[in-house]
Amino acid sequence: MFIVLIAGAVLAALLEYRSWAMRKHYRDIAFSACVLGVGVALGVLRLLRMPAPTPLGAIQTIFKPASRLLEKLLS
Amino acid sequence: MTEHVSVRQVMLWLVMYQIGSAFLLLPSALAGIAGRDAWLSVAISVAAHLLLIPLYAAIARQMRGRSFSEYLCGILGKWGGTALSVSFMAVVPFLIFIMTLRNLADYVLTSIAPDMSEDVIYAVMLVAVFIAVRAGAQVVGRSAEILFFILPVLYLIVTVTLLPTTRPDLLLPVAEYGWKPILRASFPLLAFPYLETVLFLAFVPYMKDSRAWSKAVLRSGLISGAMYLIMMIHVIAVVGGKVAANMTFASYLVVRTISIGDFIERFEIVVAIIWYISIFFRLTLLLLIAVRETAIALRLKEESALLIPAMLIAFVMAPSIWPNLAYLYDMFRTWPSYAMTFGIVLPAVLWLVGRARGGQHA
Repeated sequence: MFIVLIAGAVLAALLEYRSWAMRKHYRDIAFSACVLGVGVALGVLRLLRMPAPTPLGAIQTIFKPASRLLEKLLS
Repeated sequence: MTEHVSVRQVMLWLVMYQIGSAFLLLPSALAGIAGRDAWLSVAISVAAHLLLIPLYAAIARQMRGRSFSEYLCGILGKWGGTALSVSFMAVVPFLIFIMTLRNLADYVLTSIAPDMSEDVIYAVMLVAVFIAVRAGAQVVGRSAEILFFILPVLYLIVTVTLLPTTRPDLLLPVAEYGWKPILRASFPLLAFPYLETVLFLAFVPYMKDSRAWSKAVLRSGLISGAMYLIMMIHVIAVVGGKVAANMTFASYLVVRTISIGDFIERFEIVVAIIWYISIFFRLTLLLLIAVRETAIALRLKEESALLIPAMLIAFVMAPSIWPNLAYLYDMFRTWPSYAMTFGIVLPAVLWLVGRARGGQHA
């Protein structure tokens, strides 16, 4: 199911690229393909059951001290 | 900008944005901190939100009808503006988009259909969001007008049918533990969703002028604030502060207690309908802003150039964005300072820079 959905997204993107190529929007195709590549890479990571990093972990690390300070002030 | 969205359309869209996710998730988080006084925290967060609107309105005036990315490039220069815009769109609207999507799956899997495939929940919602974003803000604005009326009707039905089981004495005594827990509990709601108001600046180019924008934002804050307040009072007055704190989706479970004459039963699915509609508009707004503003910042010709890749990343990342709901509840403690960074500090800095450079570049 997961693979089918990813393949569907890639296929839909490729169809879009074809119409953009006709309009010579190469810059759009380049940026879009890069981001699509990141998406597919993350999908492969998930298929291989590798632990994907969550951006929330970084937010926790950076903003936890400030939040704890705020909580301390109000407790 | 040829597309125009009316004040009413934007207002209704924003109300649904603010009601989505937080409506189900926050009651227990707030009650966990402030107990039976959580409704006072709601009042404080809404008041704080209303006080912040003049800051956002000032930025909306500085934008003079340009998109948010163009405004950033105007005051920070081409490279600085592009870099800030792209990173902001990735770590604020897009991240919240992934989190909201995950919320949806968490809710469906916990409360409605535990055996459903997570991927299917994402895929079905993403297809709807894809169609909406491709159709553009004007179409979504009109559908907001059509679908919104269901919300107050259902909300009213729930509120009225809950009245027989409401026990106002559960709200007393007020502020038993002082004002500090009440103030502390007001942060989660202020941060999520009210500090996300900065994202609504992306609507400025769609509207007649910045005054129309301020009007829509102010009204939406008042309407959603009133809805939160009534809901919170209800949750506490029906099950009490302590029980509410221990429920995952308190506002959903409270409606489960409705049972009138063995006829009106299993009413909670009404809340699910309210939530599905509002979360759809929330997701559409987040993705529309993230994709469109990034495309403008990168000077792409197709506004939806990054739509499919962004949706693919969201689809893949949503299941692993947090391991479980306990992690999310812990995140609620950290999130306010993150939200204040992008919701108060960043707009204040932008406004000051915009003011300083007002005459020459902006």
